[in-house]
Amino acid sequence: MSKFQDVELLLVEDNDNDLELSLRALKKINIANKVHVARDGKEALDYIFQKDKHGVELNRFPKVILLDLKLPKIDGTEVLKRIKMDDRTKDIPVVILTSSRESVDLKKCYELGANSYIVKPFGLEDFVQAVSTAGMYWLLINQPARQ
Amino acid sequence: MAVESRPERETVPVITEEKEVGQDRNILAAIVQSSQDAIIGKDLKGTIISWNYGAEKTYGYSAREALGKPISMLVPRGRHDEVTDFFEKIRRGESIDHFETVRITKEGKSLHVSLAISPIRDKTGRIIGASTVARDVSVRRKLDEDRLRLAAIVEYSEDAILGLTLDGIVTSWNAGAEKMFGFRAKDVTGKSVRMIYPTDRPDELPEIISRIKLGHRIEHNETKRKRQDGTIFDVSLSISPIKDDVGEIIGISKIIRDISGQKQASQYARSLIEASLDPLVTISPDGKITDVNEATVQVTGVLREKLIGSDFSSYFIDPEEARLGYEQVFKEGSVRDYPLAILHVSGAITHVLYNASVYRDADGKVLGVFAAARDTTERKKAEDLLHATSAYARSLIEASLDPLVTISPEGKITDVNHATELITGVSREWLNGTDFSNYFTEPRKAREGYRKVFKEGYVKDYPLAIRHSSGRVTDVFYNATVYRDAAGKVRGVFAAARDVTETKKASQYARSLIESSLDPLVTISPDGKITDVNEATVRVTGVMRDRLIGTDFSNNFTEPEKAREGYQQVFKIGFVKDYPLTIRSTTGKLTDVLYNASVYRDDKDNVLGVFAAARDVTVRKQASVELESSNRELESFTYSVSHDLRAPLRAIDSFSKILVDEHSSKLDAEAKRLLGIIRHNTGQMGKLIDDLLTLSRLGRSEISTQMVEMSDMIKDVFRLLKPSFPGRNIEFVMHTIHDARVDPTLFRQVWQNILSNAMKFTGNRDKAKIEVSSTLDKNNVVYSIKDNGVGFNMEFAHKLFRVFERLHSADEFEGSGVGLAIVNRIVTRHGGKVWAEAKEGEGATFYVELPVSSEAQ
Repeated sequence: MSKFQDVELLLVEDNDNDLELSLRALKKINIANKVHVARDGKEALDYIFQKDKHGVELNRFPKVILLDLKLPKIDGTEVLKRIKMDDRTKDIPVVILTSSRESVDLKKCYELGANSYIVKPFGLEDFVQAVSTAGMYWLLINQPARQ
Repeated sequence: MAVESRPERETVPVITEEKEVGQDRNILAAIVQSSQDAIIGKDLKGTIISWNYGAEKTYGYSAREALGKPISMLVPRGRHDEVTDFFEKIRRGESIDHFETVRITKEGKSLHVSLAISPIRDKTGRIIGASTVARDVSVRRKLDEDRLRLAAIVEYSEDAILGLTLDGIVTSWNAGAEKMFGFRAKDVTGKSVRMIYPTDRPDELPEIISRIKLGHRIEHNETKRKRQDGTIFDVSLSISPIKDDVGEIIGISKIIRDISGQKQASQYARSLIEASLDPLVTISPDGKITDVNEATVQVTGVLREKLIGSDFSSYFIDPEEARLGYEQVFKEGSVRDYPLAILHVSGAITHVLYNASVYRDADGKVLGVFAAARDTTERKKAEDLLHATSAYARSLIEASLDPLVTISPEGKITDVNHATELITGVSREWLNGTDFSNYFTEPRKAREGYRKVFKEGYVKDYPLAIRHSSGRVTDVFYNATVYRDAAGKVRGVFAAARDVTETKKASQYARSLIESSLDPLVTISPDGKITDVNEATVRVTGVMRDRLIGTDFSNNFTEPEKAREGYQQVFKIGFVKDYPLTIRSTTGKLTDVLYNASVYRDDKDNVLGVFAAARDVTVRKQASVELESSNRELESFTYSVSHDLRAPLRAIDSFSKILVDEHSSKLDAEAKRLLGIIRHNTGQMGKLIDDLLTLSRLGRSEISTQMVEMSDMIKDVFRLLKPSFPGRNIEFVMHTIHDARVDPTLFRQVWQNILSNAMKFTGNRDKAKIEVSSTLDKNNVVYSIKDNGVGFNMEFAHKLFRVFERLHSADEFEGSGVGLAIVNRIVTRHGGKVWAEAKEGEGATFYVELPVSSEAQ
């Protein structure tokens, strides 16, 4: 796991297999060591809004968040909502990475302010391609609102 | 009457003085006590210090009650200033004499008294009080008042009121007498009353005087008197004796009333009666004629002398009817327009209408009947429409589809038009002269109808039913008015009937429709009250019809405010559609309804109310709730499928790929072959899952159609499919392809599935041939896709489009068994249908038919 200062991408994924495949893809673009992984929605929010041992908010945020929707404890859409409703975090790009191609999910995520929506491709090559492209785009190509 | 008590004025020795004083006092006391007048002493503060017997009698208080009390108890409210004035005068040493005022007795009665008040002094002459002598003058005052009142009556009377001595000498002469005769009182007083007697009546005065002397009174004696200017006039006299206290006759009072005006009035009335063209008679209670006018003589041809005293009824065609007539007058006080026919001695008949009423004497006793007849014979002729109307008007009348009729005051038909003949089945010759009421199912109601017209001048929409001679009944509404001659006299009734049988039938039909409606129907007045309901409304509310009508519409709903807004919206914009409300019945049962309502108007376009129809959607709503919940279940199922089935599949596929890619050196050929099988199957399963998800989405997603160039779409789909069938020799032929209005995204899947099937099932042909064509008729466009593949047995054609049904083994031809089900679903959602024809081993043709309506739109 990366040190806090180095983290540029938060990957929220509960499925071990998908997690491994995603990390493989990110390794390809050499950012696997700048990734923090959260295994459920609560863990993701705790990480984003983390405080020091004195309870002081740190206000250090990842540059991009890859978010699965179907998550234990707190659902992905709820995580998205809290990120986008908070003035401090609303500018962080959130990429939905999910198996669902259901239009209700698409509609809801975009309404809540998701920056991108990727349906996990079935084949390995396609999957690796999709995740690495997304990581590359948001971390290297996209100009963020705040440095 | 002032009693002064000043006995000790001179200066005398004390003892002597006391003695004298005592004597005087005794005398004085006796006078005071025996006086009928009230003698009261009071000090300067007004406290009563002496009270005699007269005071007791006058005021009702005993001495004990009065002594020590303030004198003011005798003074009525509003007169206390009087007393203050008296005391001021007394203090100054003055006396008050003959002061008339009012005092109050113990019983509270007002008493007119005359007072005399003087000061009381002590030995030194100092004024220490006052004595009052009061005399009750009530009786005297009353007499005075009576006299004054009488004098006023006499003075202001319009009648002449005279006082005479027994010799006929005038002693009094009032203003009425001055006015009536022209003589002034001062000119006649002391002179003989003879001056007002006409010279040709010399005996009257002595006769009157002699009768009065005998104590007689003379009342209402009609005679004549003479004015100063010599004119003679009619008077009515009342004369009575004047007696003194002991009953001795000392004079004569005469009241003279001028009745010349009355006399003239009655002569005038008589001349009017005589001049009347209407036969007039008076009838005694036993039916004898007591008086007649000239017109009666004319109409009967009988001399006046012979008429008077004869039976009234004997001059009519129907004497019994005449008798009933005047008997009715005696019974009820009057009759109006009582039809009779008078028979002249010559045999001529005069139709008349009698108006008659009883007349009474001054005491209200019925003396007889006064009857006036109006000749209607002439009128009857004039009434005839043929005579009264121009040919043009006549033709209009005849052309009218409405039965028109004129009715005489007796209720006889006097004229009809053709429509009347048709509706009654009776020719006009037979109709004329017969009773109007004969032709109705309810003759009495018909009679009431035309009588109402005569009484009120018109009727509107009077419902009657005409009976045809064949028995057929026609419901009609009568509009009728009286019609008059040039002089404004009512001649008869003009009545127009409107056949409302059809309207009535229609309205009965409508009513039965309304009643049989399963939907609750109501009409609502502008103020929100229910004006009518049907049976369904009664059922759904559980309230009786008559208890619903007149109540607030909104009461019957779970949300009265929303109900109110609903009908107000109707009044505002004219209608509402599918307005959702929930009716609450008396038992608490809730019924979800959708209201459709609109205003309804009268023929002048005035809004009368709202007609509201409710549709019970409880069942529909339940069904839609159920459907919604099953849809939600399906959604969560497909969501799970897409997530939970695809994820492990992806893992199997991806990791076996990694194994092949990154660990191939450690794998022998067999291991690689087995991994290949694993990956192929996961691919198949992934495809199956995707197809199933597509199928489930199809049922739910909206379709949005547009005109599509179908040939382009087919070509494009074929182009994209071709690489999936490498090394195949496929001849693809496209004939005329009509365009259609479809959802392009969905319909692309139709071509994908059908064309890939065609390519797949021609796989074992050296040269595959696929032909696409279309035909168009006015209803449908049909696409056909023909291949020269393996075909199938038509026995199983019905299974073709079902999910998971496969007509070939997976070994032979790969496939999920979902593709044609997707095709079927999409085409069905476009309102079309799919089918296939095939022969085993000889290829298959698939048909897709779409309705032109959807294509044309």
